[in-house]
Amino acid sequence: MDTCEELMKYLAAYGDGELTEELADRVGRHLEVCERCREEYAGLAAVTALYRESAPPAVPAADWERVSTALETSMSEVREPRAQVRERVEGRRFLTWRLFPAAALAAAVLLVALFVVLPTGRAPAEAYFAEVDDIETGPDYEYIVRLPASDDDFLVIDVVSVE
Amino acid sequence: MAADGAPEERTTDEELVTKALAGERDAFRELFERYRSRAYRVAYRFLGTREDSLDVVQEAFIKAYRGLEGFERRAKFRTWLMRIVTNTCLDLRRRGRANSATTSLTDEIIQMTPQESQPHRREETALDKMAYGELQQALSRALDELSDAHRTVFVLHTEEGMTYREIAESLGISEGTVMSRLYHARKRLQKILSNAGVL
Repeated sequence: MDTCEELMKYLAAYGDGELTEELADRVGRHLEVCERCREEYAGLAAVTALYRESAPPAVPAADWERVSTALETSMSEVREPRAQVRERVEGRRFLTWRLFPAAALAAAVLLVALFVVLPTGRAPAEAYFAEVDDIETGPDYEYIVRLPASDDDFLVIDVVSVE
Repeated sequence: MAADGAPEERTTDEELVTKALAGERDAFRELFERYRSRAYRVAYRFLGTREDSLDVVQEAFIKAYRGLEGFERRAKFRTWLMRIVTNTCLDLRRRGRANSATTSLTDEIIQMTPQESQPHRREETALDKMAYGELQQALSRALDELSDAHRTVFVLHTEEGMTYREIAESLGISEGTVMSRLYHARKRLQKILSNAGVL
């Protein structure tokens, strides 16, 4: 026979219909014979019922309209910046390649250095130039690659206009 | 009803989420219409004032819209949204921005018209306007005395009608923990409300 202490913690879940069939049967049988647990069960159920029956005050239509408008504004703000960002990135890319080829070249050299040369160990400066020469950059710029002096040092790429 | 007389099938939340992600704002508007009242009732149980609760609903739906791309379909939209709502409520309380329910609630309800003050789930209530305000105040005070963990589980279950499993999924806890928290939350509320003469 189950004791009150064993089943007390299940009373609320029993009322919620959240127990397994086997456990619900045990609690149900216990409630039939135990007045103390019936009172406990009724008290817990009354709390839930009180909150459910005392719904919060209704919201006037004008207040919902205000919330709805704010959401609409927010949705517009979310979508538009995404489009704007795309345009800005494209614009910056255009400017970068057209007006600042030196910077673009530096980035290209860095990529070559990092992904082609450095993984094979420190290479002579000529190796960098050999790789960089494969990139079509136009005749107006020179680049100087300085190897890092130590493992803690940086690879430096200077790009200089010759115009 | 559809033109051929067959019952019209309601678009599921999942379908609406998919459409919203494809850029159909009407789909998200539909989700807002479906869940705004539920979100409001949950928020109200945390905050105790209509104004703060509506602010939370607004903020929660905006967060949901902005975070829709990160929504994992393993959970239901409803449980995901309610987690946003409860977190937004808890944040507001922690920041101390929410009005104290115990000081502002009565004034707010007193200012309502009789029609506005009626609980919107029932056509009629035995409570007159002032008694309704006092009751809401007592219920809010009692909830204020619970821990965040207990209050969250109680509100999601009692106000939103979420199952233990849904609450467990929403909060990332076990169903056993949900059951335990719900039991202790009710016991505490029972004692508080009894002492206050409400129960």
